[in-house]
Amino acid sequence: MHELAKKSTAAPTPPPPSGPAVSPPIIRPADFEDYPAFREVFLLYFADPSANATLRSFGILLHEMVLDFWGHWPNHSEGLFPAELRAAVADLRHVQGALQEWTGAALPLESEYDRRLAEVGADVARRIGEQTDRLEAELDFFVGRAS
Amino acid sequence: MCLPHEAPPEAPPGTETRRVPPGRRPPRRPAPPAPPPPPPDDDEPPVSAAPSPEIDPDLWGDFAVFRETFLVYVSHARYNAALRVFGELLFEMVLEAWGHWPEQPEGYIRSHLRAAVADLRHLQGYLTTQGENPPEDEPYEAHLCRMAVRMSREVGGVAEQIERELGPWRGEVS
Repeated sequence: MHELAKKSTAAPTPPPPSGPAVSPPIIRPADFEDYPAFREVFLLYFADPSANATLRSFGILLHEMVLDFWGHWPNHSEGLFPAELRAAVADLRHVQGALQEWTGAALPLESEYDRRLAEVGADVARRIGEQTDRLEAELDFFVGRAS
Repeated sequence: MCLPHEAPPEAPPGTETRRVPPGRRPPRRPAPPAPPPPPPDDDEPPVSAAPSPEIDPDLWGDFAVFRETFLVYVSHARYNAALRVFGELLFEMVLEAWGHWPEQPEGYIRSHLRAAVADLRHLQGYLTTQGENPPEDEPYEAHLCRMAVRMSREVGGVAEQIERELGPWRGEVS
């Protein structure tokens, strides 16, 4: 074994979880600003409560700092409000894609119940796609990009 | 990029009145007046706003971390890109780490659908807020406001469809 390899330390053992897994929150739409930066489908992977809470706090801090500074940055060429709606379109497409993948054929579904859930998720993905198409068409029409 | 002791550059001239983005801020004392900014450097290229990407649903994993409704306010292209790269790093790292953490009590598909519902409810609230107070003197913006409100109701409807199917059980052991 190489000399340096003998001297290297073993990989650290991960610390024990700080508690039971954190489930996704129930977000009241009126409180959406309390969940500003990170997607819930990403935070789902931070199942450790301490890690999850830390990242949420960081997201809130980042959002506050961006709100304090955003006026110094360039304006969106089509105006802020259409840009905000385009951002919502992008987020809807993200959820659409995630649902399509989680409910797709590649996912192993072990029970009839899981298959039922997958059907519902797939239907929701389709409906989100249709709704988003309409908003996107409206935004594109305004800026003259309609085909 | 401005160093901490330098004043940030002014917004480009001739800009429209910007709608204040939604956000609650803690009360703070008024900041002292900023010193005048340095004259613009003619050799510096203009900085254009970073637009939101058009996300192909099949490539949703490439935009896994930050909400676009957050990144839209980071219109500085370089900083926007930096956050996206940081997000990629976080995503890679959490995929390595999450196996060491407890499993979701509801199981894989239920917990993932719950996360999707949470994101849909966020969008429902965001679109509702965007649709508030349509301007009387801007017909197109007013039209977009009404569209946002309609979208908000539709997004709420699909979130409810999943929630009804999932029911109230969240993995509690009786």
